[in-house]
Amino acid sequence: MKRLYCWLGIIALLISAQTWAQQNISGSLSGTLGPGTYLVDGDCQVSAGQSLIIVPGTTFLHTGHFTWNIYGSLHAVGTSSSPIVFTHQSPNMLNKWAGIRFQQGASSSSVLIWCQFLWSQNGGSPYSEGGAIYSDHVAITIRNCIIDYCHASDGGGIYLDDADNSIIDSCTITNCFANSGGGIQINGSNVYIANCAIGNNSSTST
Amino acid sequence: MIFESNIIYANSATTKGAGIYLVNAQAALSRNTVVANHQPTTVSISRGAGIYADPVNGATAAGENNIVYFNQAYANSQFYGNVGFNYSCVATSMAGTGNITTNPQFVNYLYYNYQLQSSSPCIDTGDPTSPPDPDSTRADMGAIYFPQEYQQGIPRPVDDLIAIRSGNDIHLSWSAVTQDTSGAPISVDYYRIYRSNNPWFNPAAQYLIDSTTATSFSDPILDYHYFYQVTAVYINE
Repeated sequence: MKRLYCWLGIIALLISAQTWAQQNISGSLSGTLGPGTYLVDGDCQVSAGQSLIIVPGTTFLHTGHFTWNIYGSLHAVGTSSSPIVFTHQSPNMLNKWAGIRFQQGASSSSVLIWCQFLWSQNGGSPYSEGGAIYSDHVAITIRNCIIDYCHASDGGGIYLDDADNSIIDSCTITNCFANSGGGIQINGSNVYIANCAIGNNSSTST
Repeated sequence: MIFESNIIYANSATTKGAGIYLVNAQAALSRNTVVANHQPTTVSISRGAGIYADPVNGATAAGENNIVYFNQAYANSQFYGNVGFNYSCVATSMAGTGNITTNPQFVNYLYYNYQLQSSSPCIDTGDPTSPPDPDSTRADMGAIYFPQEYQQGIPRPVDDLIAIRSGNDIHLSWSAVTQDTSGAPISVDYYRIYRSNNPWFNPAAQYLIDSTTATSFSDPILDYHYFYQVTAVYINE
């Protein structure tokens, strides 16, 4: 019995440490984030001229329907064994965060590599396109990423709007849905899509 | 717009382009596998479940070395609009050079395994002017080439791996490997099971999760996505 209490004590300490390690973030971000787990409790943004670097092994748990607006530069580069994860704190079909949006004028040096975008949605106010990733006239590079269970009015996983020279390489885009463009919707963009697995996505109006 | 070496599978739509829907776009496609995308078969405007290049606004799709098969719609299930390939495998006849309509012989398309069987007509029938496959042979059709590095003592690839969710486990099964890559009989010692969340991973040490002498394996579910590879090991002593 004494040994059991000892184990319970250790488990309690571990839970406590885990809680301590989580920081709340929102608002304007720059510099370097991670590794570790962050609770996102509001919209985030990277301002014009600013850069945000996210390191491997970083997880963002969104507590609500919050968006990342990128006006500057975002470098989210994980590794195969330590990806960067964006998801909802309690993910299901009702609880979703609101994706990452590269707004017109943002840096075309932004990259998302070995990232996972899970359980996000846009489908009405304030945004309707791009469940996980939206780019408005910004060339972005997305490699080795997983996009799963995301949805939007258009472009359930990704929506590229005149985002010429964007690259989507070695990504898995699955289980997303939208009115049009269940997995990816590309509007007027000259993009390169290679080595991707795009499956089990659905469009409900085309 | 360029599509290269993608697997576009099992997507659904109500009337158009469940796999690829092109509107006012010119797309170049090479080495893609567009398979098992589906739309209603009872709605008369349901067309182009594999590829829909909207003819109203001049969308086109062209290229080579693609497989477009097992897509399902009311009509024109594989493609609709201005779609023209060469050296491709398309279930319905398509004008062009080197195209075939015969079954591509995936290992098991019902279980999302779109590797080619050794008897596939898509092996070495791609565009002869395309860059060769990694095994230095003529280009295959589709996103996954069939390796042909024939050598004695090296087991053939495990090419019928099936993964089925069973409760809280993923249950893997495959057929025993009984030949080496030259076709000679071989008795393999065991199998290595690799797992990654990247569909294109190479079976390297960091992805090795276990070994077994059996032809099945169960793996507990830990995450949303798994991709597995199984290799046969023959210790020639």
